[in-house]
Amino acid sequence: MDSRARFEAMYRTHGGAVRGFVHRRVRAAVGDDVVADVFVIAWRRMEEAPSDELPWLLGIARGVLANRRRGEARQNALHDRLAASALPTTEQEPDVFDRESALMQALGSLNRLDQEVLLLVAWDGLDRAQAGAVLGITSGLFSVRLHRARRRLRRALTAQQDPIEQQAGDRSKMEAFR
Amino acid sequence: MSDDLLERLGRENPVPERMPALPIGSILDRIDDPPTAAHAHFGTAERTNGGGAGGRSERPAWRPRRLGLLAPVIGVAATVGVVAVVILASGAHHAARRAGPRLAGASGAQVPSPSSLLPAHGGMRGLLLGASVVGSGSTLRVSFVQCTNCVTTTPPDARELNWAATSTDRGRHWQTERERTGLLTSGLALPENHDVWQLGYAPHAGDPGFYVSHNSGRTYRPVRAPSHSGFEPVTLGHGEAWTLGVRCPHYQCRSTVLHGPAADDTLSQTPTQPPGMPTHRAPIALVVAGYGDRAYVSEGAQRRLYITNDNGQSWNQTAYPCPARAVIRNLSPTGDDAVWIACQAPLETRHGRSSRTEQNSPVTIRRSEDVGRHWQTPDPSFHRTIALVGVSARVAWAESLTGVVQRTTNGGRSWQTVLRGAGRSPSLDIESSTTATVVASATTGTTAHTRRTELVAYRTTDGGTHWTHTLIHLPTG
Repeated sequence: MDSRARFEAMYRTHGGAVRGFVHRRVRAAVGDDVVADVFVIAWRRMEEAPSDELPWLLGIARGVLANRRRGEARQNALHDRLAASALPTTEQEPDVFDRESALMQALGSLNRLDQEVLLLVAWDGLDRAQAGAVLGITSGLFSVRLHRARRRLRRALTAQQDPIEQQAGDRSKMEAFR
Repeated sequence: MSDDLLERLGRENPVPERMPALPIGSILDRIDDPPTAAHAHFGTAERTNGGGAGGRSERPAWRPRRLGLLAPVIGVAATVGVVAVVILASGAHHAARRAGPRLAGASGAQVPSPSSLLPAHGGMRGLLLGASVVGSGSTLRVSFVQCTNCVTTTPPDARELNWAATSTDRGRHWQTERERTGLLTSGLALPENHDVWQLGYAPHAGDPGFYVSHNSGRTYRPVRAPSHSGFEPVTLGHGEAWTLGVRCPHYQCRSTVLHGPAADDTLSQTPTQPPGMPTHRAPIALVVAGYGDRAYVSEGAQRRLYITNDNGQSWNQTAYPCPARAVIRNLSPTGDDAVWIACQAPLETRHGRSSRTEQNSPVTIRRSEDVGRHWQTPDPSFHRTIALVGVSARVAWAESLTGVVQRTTNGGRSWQTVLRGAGRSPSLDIESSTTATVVASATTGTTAHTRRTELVAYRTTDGGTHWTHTLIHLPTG
């Protein structure tokens, strides 16, 4: 199968999954542009594509999204510097964790890697091996990170629901160390 | 303890169901080039300039493994780089505010300037005027006029010679020769049948008219067309040629739409003409552009836009799409039902010179996907656009007066700068959604006797991410 045919077959198989992955993380207006960027890069790197293509594609998508976030952060910093000027403002990327649910608030308080570890399983439905491949780590290491991320999420959720109890728990832990 | 947590998290999924993939055409629009092969270098005298818009250059295979020890150094360098970029961007922003509306996408491949490529003892004597490039298939053709004893205008003792540079291998090698017929080839065009077929304008050969060559410009024969006192450049699309002719009997001028199959060497009046065609010798912004059986004719004084879908058997008027005081400057129909236009305030001449204000007025780019029934203004932030070429409903290229080339792949929602540094007003030829050629000239010497000029062709086959450059090597005589 030549590169073009393989690319088209890959797009037919995984185009929807990649689009879903992207749209879960950015607003709809820019999602399709990101998807197009992902497949343009995939086309340029077709020779590197492994047999299990989905994790590889999602890894590229993570990179594109990260670049986009970095670009926006730089742009926002520049906006702050040029506050007096009339540079047109860009639309802020709404954070998916801004939603009101306590669980989403707790998720939003985690670091980005923990968030990604949890969402690859809970939202994108990947198994440990696939999710590990997206992040470039082994399935064993991914399992460890997932375990820790779940624990941190549970703790953040508990703290949100009962902050006084959480603080008391923290105090008792500290006392136990003394 | 916590699979229930993942289940709860799953219920918060904003896109729980499988999404349908985008139409694959929207992806293939961007990737018409083969992977990696598109970056092959041309010849030995060329270099590739990476780092175009989007920065999608290939990552070296060694980098992920050997980066470890260098990471801190690179991190510091990257931080310094980011600070420098912020400072430069700040300066560029203020400069852009002084100059007018911003150019979308401040990145883009910075190619070596034509003057930096000028050989020490090479170049053609004199100035080169009106260099324009057109391409079709593997053939590229640049036509230009050598003007010796020229200063900035054309004095009486100046001598003009017509030249053509032709490449039949996609710009790798060029052959330059005199236009034996003395044709002034404004309105140069090449059809899609890969035969070198050229329409020229011969001001010194009796009545002006179009001429066609089927042998790379060695000989020409006139195109059969009704007699006119002037013509507009031809547009060729999908095997059909469209143009305008102006005839002025009894001090009253009349513009007519001419049309014919590109392979027939014949242009004739369309069966009907759009109503209310201008009767001035110099009509304001009268533009025709066709693609196959469909053509658009716009007229600026009355702000009218007509469309035919049947080779000029009938014309329908549609709403004039430009904002108040602006007229259609560029009109670029594509093979689907899309058409791109650039609107700009008309040039007002004062004492024979164009008003600087009008020249600098912003350009509004509009696009229709349904043959002009509805129009969108995808990005109004354009400035001094001199060329706009639509390839499809999603892909278009635009060039500004300063030589900056921009490209959109999402129907104009965003534009990326893909080329800068080629000097002012280079000639642009678009072959496809990913392939473009820019020809720019460089001049050295300060007097009419010492002046030397050379042409440089910049070419991309990957949508502007990488550009190669080739010195055309004009004769030194």
